Amino acid sequence: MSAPGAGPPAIALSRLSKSYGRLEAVRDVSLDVRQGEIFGFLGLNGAGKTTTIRVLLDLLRPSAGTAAVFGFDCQRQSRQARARIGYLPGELGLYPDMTGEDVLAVLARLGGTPVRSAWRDELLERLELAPADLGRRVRDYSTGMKRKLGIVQALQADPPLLLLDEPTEGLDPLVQRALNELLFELRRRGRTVFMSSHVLSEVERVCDRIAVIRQGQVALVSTVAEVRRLGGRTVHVHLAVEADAIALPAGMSFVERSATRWQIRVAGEVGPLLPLLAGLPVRDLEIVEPALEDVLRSFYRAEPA
Amino acid sequence: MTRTWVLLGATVRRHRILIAGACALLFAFQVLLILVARGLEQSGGFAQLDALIPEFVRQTFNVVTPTFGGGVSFAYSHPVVLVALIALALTLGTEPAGEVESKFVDLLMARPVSRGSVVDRSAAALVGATGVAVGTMLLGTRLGLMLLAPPGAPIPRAAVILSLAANLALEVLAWGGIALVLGSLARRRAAAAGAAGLLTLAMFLLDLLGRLWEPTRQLSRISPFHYFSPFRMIAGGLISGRDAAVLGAIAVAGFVVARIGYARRDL
Repeated sequence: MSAPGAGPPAIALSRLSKSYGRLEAVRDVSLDVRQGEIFGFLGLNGAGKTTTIRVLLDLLRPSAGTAAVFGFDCQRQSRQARARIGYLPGELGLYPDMTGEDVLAVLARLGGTPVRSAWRDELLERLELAPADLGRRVRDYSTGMKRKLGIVQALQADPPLLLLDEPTEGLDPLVQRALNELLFELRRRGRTVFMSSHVLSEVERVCDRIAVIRQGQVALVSTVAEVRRLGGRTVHVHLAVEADAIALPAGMSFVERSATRWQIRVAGEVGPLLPLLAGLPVRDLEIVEPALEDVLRSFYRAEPA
Repeated sequence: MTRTWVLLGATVRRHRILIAGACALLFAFQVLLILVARGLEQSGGFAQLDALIPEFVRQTFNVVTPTFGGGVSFAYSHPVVLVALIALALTLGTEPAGEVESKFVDLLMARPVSRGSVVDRSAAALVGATGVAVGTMLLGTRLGLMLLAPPGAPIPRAAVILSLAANLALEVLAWGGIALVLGSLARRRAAAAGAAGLLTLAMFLLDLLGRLWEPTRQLSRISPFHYFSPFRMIAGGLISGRDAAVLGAIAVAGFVVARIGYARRDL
């Protein structure tokens, strides 16, 4: 298996646009997803996440620009590109009169890549989908069971690229955790995961890098760690007795200040703050990393440049 | 090709009850009509029926003197048979729209399946189901005649029955081709099937009008029903090469347009 980042990008979008009449669902999106990484594609509903994924699958034809998977153009070499993809749609369209077993069998045969039964059984076990459930018709499945079946069909052929649209929607916390562990394992084996989500805590736990799409345009591409840095950390200072406020250096500001409790937002390193606190009656000090959600909220809502 | 077969297998499994039900209905209908024709033959009812047919109907539809053989042959143009077979064709022809509507197409197209395979699958299902249904009708006719034909009654020639069956099958396939075009371009199956159904009714009425009213005769040539001439065959003729060619051409053109349209559209 190739090392992470080696070879052509798992996904390469170049100035990709997709319009429906006058509505521009995706506008001039350029993005590379490296092989072997877990990439989060974030945005509000209607931001253009699913449209972008559907262009990768050649379900939608771009109005301008190109999309490629492992170097294969998603429109001109669509079948080669799709042969390398496992896809979990956000809205799973299953025929209710088919059994879970039928769904997996038909989709495996259409995929063309042999499915290792040991791997499929492992997936079923880890996602807690019992063999007896596979014999039931899909109409009798709960939302969570359908989701699990969707994940198994996407992963069963062990494809090099996974496109997961809101993968944990409808899953209970234990299965969510099992799925996250599965994704980590796949990354270790060199697989690439491109997942769209609006559950930021999940993205924070799982993804190496993220892109934020807003009104059809990419507003941010970054590692999760960098995004957190963008938000700055918060230093909570607990004083034993009331003290006079201090003059903060550049890049720092008070978020909240009461008699004995200060909250200071620090963009960058905390070091310059420590000498200033040294002369104060500090009882306790706590440095809090920002939640991804807090940082991304501004990217979600701000007007594009 | 392999993927087309996989898709075809899934389609047949999904529609097996519909196809089997239509075949059972058509088989039973053939036997029933033979039973009715036997009753009329034995009671002298055909002569009474002949006296009841108005002259203009006789001329407009080329109706010949009713006989047992004619009654048996009539089963291949009976409205119940036409409606059942065309409904089956519209259902199968609009499956691509159903897959888009249900989003099952997302799962199909996430595999290295060509868009052409989806249309090929539906065309193959149409041809197969039409063949099986019309074949079942022929079987019903054969068994019905063996078991129920009154001694000495005039039995239609095999060539006539086969011509009627071929004309009927081509008519159904022409409508299947039209349904395939609509099904390949629509996002909702009900919209495609509804439009195809309305078009079928409109074309049926246009053909009827063309037969009844001289000024509309030329226009009625655009109706696929114009090329379905059962009464001429019931009178002993064989399928017209022109009719077969036109209906076959409509079916093939529908398939080609559907393939092109489906390949170019957003799913």
